[in-house]
Amino acid sequence: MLIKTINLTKTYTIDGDIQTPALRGVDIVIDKGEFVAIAGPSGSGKTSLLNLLGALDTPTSGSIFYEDIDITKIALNALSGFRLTQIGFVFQAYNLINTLTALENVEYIMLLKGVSADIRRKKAVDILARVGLGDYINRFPRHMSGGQQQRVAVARSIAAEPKVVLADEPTANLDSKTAESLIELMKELNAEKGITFIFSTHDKMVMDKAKRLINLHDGKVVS
Amino acid sequence: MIFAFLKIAFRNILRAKRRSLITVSAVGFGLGALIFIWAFVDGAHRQMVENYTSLIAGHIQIHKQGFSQKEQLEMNFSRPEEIIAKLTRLAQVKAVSPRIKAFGLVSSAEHSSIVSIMGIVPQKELSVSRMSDRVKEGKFLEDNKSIVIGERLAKNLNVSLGDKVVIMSQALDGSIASAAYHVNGLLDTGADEIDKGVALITYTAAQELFVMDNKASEIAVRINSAEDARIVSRMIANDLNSPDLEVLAWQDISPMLYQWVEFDNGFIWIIVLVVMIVVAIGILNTVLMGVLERTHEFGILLALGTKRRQVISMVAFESLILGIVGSIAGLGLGCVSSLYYGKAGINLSAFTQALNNFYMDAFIYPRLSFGHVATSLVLVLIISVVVSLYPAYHAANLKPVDAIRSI
Amino acid sequence: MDSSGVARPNDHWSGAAKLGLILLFLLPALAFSQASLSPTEIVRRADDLLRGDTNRGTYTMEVVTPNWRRTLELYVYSLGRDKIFIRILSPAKEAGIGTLRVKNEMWNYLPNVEKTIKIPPSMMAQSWMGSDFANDDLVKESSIVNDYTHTIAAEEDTGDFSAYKIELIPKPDAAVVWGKILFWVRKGDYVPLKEEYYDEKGRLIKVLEYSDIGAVSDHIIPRVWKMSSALKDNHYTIIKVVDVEYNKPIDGNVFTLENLKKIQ
Repeated sequence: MLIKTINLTKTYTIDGDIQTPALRGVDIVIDKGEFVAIAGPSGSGKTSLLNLLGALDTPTSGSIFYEDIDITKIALNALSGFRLTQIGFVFQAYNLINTLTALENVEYIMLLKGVSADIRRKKAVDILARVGLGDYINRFPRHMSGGQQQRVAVARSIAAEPKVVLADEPTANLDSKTAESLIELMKELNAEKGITFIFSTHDKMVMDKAKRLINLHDGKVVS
Repeated sequence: MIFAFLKIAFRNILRAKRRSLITVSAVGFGLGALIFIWAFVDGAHRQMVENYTSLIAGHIQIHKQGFSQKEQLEMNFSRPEEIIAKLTRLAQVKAVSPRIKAFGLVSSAEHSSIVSIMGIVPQKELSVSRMSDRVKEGKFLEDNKSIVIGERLAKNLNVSLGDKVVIMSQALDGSIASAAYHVNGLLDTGADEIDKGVALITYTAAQELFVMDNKASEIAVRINSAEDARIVSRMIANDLNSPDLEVLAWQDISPMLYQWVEFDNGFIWIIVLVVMIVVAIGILNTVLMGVLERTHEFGILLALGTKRRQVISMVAFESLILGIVGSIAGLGLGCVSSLYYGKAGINLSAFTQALNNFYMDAFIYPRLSFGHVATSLVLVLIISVVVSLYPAYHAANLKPVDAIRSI
Repeated sequence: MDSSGVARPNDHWSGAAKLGLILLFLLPALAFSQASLSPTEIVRRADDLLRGDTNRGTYTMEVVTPNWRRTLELYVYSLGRDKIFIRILSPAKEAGIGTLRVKNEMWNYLPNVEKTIKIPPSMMAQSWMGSDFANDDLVKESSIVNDYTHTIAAEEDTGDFSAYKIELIPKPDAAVVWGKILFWVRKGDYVPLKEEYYDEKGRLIKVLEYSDIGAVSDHIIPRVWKMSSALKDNHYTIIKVVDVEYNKPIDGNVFTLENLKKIQ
């Protein structure tokens, strides 16, 4: 068991008093090395769930265990350290720091962790080569395609060797061919490095690539 | 790690070239203007002090204790040459000149006027004051029968060069002091109270007229730098070690001038404040805009695990770099313009009349002072960082979830 | 009353006689009342006494200050209230220096430079020849009579003399520097005894004391006049009347600039 949620709920308060439930009691267990897709229509609570799993947001009630640590008990200030060491992130789009090159974006995460300059450089070059961007390491994001940018994001997410990579609709802004190859890449990395991947999607093709599918509907796991 | 944040900050500045350029210009222009204005004021002050002290006063004056309160012939001291000998041994002292000062009635055939009479040693006076340079017509004092008076006084008395005037006063022994002199030169100092109210005769003539054998009313001292007048005056007082003598720096001799300079020095802080506000707004604008534009990016940075203080330093660096670049530009602008006008002078001849009253010339020569340049620079740099704290704090406190959503 | 008696010759005799009788009784009273003149008149008489219509003669003036003490011998011509001519006789350094004052104008003559100097009005309050007397004190014109209102503040008995203490307050538009003058005048013969000069704040500035009352020519006057500063210690001037004649005609040509330059 890597991640376990118990009766997780999240209710947003809109305009001060309108309560909008996004998650209504989610219990899931994800084991180490899984390649999981969280599926469901828009508004089903995919992003809310990923935000909670990513320690970017706090639940209204319930618990999230990483191994045997309940991260809902961790103080907000300490969560940035937790994210840094435990979790890799890939967001929908515009994942990268625009003023850094592909290489520097990948290095950045290791920099925060305090990895020495030559090690992180070597590692970043290797990882970028692995994701097929060996020739693009000195490019700035604006000179790369959306697919290339997402590959850099994936490279960055695994660079610090996290326990889990969370990807919120990583293919949403990509054409289907590019999307497919990105998911393939993630799947390969999952297999190679044993890193757990959890990603949300509403794309049938992407769901099909997942080894396991968690279906959300109206804030509840339906299958 | 700091280097990486610096790099990000630096690249962010380059990314928004136009905006950064505007900020750098604002900082540069602000600092440049500040340095120049400060140099201008310093230059004007130096000129005022130099003109005032060189006109008549000298940098330091030595009198009998109480002379400055009660300027009378009785307020004199004996054996001035002994004091002069002591003074000339001091390294800071450039020149020394003894004087006799008294009030008297100077009369022409038609008119009379009460004036301040100064007995001076022409040769010694040349290196203490520039009275001789201010002789507009005729020559400076020559023999013991010559007198140099202000141009306005000459007009009031209706005399011209070569005419006879009579001084009438009371000598030290109470007897009536009276003697006739030939007008040898006319002074035009621009300072009314001198041009209307001063008559110069030789020290020897004054000694004779006022029965002041081996006595002087004043020793005027010129030192290496007017700024040190207070310190040197204290040194002299220690050296002379006489309770019967008062040693006054020009600041004490002309409290009005000193206060004017001090007032100006205070006033300049208002200019500093205005420039700081301009600089602050310039930097705040750029940095805040930059931060708001990059909300999404800060969200990513925070989500990835960047600490809040790291975000703060990133933003502050950005601001500091803008401040530094702007400061270099401003330093160049301020120094070059100050140096250029320091040589060429700034022509204010349109205000000659007013300037003369403040002992200023038609041309003002800005003068850079290391202290004021450094102060301006440090202030601009500090303000550039301080002003970034708000946007930095804002960026650091973004909620990553919300921030990432905004594109 | 008097005039009505004279103007009506046809009046009943007994009426006129009565009137004459009344006048007769009144006369001694009128004569006696001369002793109590108006304060203004007292001041005028005291002022006249020292001056006479004219006077000429020798005075000495001793000036004492903390720093020096010196005595000048002066020859003075004075005519009326507005003309005075002074020639310094000694000491040698100043001998021949002359001062002429006619009304508001004043000149000094300096023989060593052979020059006549007109004293500007701004200097009228300044000391004359270093003494405690101001240039303005030389010719008071009729100032102390005309520029002030006079009241008898007290009648004092000093032991030696009975005196009027007269208070002089400047008239609102009078151009005088003093705020108040107190003037002591001896009863009976109007010999001035003392003058105290106060500024507008009521501060005593200088004191003029008259003493050594005795005969000079045909005048009984104080022969020593001491002006002392109330502000400066040990600062005073003593004028002594040495040999002066009063009320002898003086040639008007004495009070001219030509005469000022002429030294015997």
